[in-house]
Formats: sequence, structure tokens, C-alpha cells
Amino acid sequence: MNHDRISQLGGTTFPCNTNEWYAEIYSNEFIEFTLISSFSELFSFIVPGIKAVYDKKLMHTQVLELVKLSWEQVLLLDDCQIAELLASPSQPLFVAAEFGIVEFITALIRSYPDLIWKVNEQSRSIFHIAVAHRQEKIFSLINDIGAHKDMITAYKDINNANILHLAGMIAPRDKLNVISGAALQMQRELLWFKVLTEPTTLSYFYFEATGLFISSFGFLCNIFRKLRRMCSLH
Amino acid sequence: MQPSLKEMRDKNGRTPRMLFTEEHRGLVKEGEKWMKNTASSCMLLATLITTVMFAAIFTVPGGNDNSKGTPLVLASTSFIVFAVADAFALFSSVTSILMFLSILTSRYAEEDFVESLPKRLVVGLATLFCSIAAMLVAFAATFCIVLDHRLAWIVVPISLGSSVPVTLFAFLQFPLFVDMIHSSYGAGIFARKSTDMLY
Repeated sequence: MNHDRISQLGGTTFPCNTNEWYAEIYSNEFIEFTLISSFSELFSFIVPGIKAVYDKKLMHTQVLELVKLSWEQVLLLDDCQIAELLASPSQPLFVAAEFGIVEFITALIRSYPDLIWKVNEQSRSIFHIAVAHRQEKIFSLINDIGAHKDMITAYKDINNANILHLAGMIAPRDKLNVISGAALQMQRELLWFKVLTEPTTLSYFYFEATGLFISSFGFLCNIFRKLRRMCSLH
Repeated sequence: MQPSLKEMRDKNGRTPRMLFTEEHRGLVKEGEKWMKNTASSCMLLATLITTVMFAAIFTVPGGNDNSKGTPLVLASTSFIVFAVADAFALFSSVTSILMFLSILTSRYAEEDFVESLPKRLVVGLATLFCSIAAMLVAFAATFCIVLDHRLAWIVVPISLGSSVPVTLFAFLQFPLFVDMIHSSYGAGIFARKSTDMLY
């Protein structure tokens, strides 16, 4: 898995980069269903471009299967060999994070969760890289790792910059120019910074759950108190 | 995120917020320029519509009754259509002017770009579109009043003809409008599908 191959995968499996219409068709489940069913001939007759989309989607599914199969073989090695494999000659995990290939990363992490702790030579984790390159899909995975996220986000890179500093730096030009209009670009940048700085967004569910617990506990206490008072009256 | 991260300094001694402001200074300037350009050109259009629509109701087709000052064609249905469309166009173009004016006089703080500015632009564009549509309705109604006696078939080509600029405006301004709506009212970039979950 060299650098070029992965970045190529990024250009294709991440259809948001190409155009909206294409992305819509690509991710539409109904169309997927139609294509695998027996209507595919008829359907491709009605909509001429659909065959190309289908082929591409088929290719991506197969590539993903290939990744999963080869990763299964990698998992047979011991830990330090895996670490070595991921560190050289190129770093597939970090390159995938940079190009926003969320399928690749989820496939790897699902079977080997330790990967979330890996850092590159600048001592940035995949989440740091996702923030620096504004890959929201990769970054959103942070909500799935539970309490570990507080530890991972506290990492500092070799320039002594934490994850908020990375969000404070201006986005890469190619990511920024996808959005039309400088005002909307600024809006997007501010949203990134806000999502990271607001304590509610990431730990939101914990707060909400504890709040709910406390309020329902208080409610139950009140009911018990009332019941006891009623009992003592009788 | 841990709150303590906000106060950490990088090797140049800057907090994340300082770094953000420093790095985005250029983008804020650019955004301000873009907003002002868009708003001022739309405002010009809205002002023209307001002027015309204000004048139109006092120079009604068929003239006024000299003794009472009421329009002579007051009874016809087309006149009611004209009056309502004219008033609607005037109100919505004035709203649009105010919206664009508030964009022009905004302070352009960093935070304004998140919500207030894009929302004002959305409202401004929507009301501008409404006023253009209502203006063309008013025009078509006036046309019908004037030519009603001779040419009854005129209604069809007139309504077809006046729908052309409205659709044109809709198509030309639609991408900007959709972008604005999407980024201000949409689900946002961090919304997730269940298939993307890690476990």
C-alpha cells in the first residue's frame, strides 16, 4: 500500500470531492438495489450514466474487501511487526486520515482498536491529522471511542500545538476552495473551531446522561418523601 | 474537549484563539469584501424596485376620478390583482433593502460569519426574489387592464413572457441561495450516518 495508491483511493471513495449529483447517486440505496436486481439492464437503458457509477461503486466495494482481507493477514503478525508495517515505507493510516477515507480507517480500527493511539513522526494522532486537514468524517469517529478521546485530544505535537491549535490554523487551500464564497469559507472555519472548543459537543452525552440521572433521582426522592408523609398521616 | 486545552500555548506562545484570529485575518477581510459586494449589488436592485412600485400605485392605468381621487378602474378584478401585487412587491423589496443595509453596516466580527450574516443574506435574497415576481405580476395585471377591451388573448403571452425573467432569476441566484441555506440551516458537516460508526 503505497502513498499514491491510497491517495488515489481517496479521490474516488470520497465522492463529495467530485460533484453533488454524483455523490447523491453514489450513496443512494435505492439505486444500489435497482442495480443489483434484475432491472439493471432496463435501468441503465433509461439512465445512461448509471453504469459508470455502478462500476465505480463495485470497484470501491471490492477494494474495501481487499483491504479487509489483507488486514486480516497483517493481524496474524505480532504487535511490533504491525507497528513497523504501519510506520514504513509509508504510513497508510495517516495518509488515509489526511485524505478522509473513513472506510479504510474504520475497517482497520474495528479489528485492531489500538490504532487510535498511534501517532506519526510529528506526534499527531489520526484525529489531529483529521482536524488539520478538515476531514470531518474521520474526526467524527472520535465520538465513538468513549472516554479515550479526552486522553487522545490532550496530545501535543512536536511544535507544542494541541488539537485546538491545529483547528486554529487555516484549512488547506484545496479543502477551503470547495466552498463557494469567502464568507461561507469563514463560516466553515469558525464551525470547526467552535465544535472543538465547545465542551458540550464532545462530552455532551455524558453531561446529559448525568443530568438526567440527577433530576430523575431527585424526582424519586420527592415521591418517596411524599409517600412517607402520607403513610405517617394515616 | 478539556477546557484546559484552550489556555495552552504553542511554541510561539499563542493560545488556539490567538492563532485562529491571526491565521484567519485575511479570510475575514475577503469574506467582508465578498459580503459587501453581494449586498450592495442586490441592494441597488431592491432600491429600484421600491422606487418603481411606490410610484406605480399613484399613476394607475386609466387615471383617477378628478373629484374623489379614486382610480377609474377600481371595480375590475385585474386592478385588485395589480394593487395587491404592487403592495407585496413594495413591502418585500423594502425588507430586502433593510436586510442588505444591515449586512453593509455590520461590524464583521468573526462570530458574525457563523449565523447572522449568512441568514441576513438568505432573507435578503428571498425577499428580493419575491419582489421581482410580484413586480412582474403587477405589470401583467396593468397590461390586462389597459388591453382588456380589445385583446382578451393577451393574457396568455403576457403571463408566459413575465414568467421568463422570474425563472431566470431563480436559476441564476439559486446556487448561492442553496449554499447559504445548506450551510446555515442544514444538518452540518458533522452530521453522521449510522454506517459511518466505528463500532
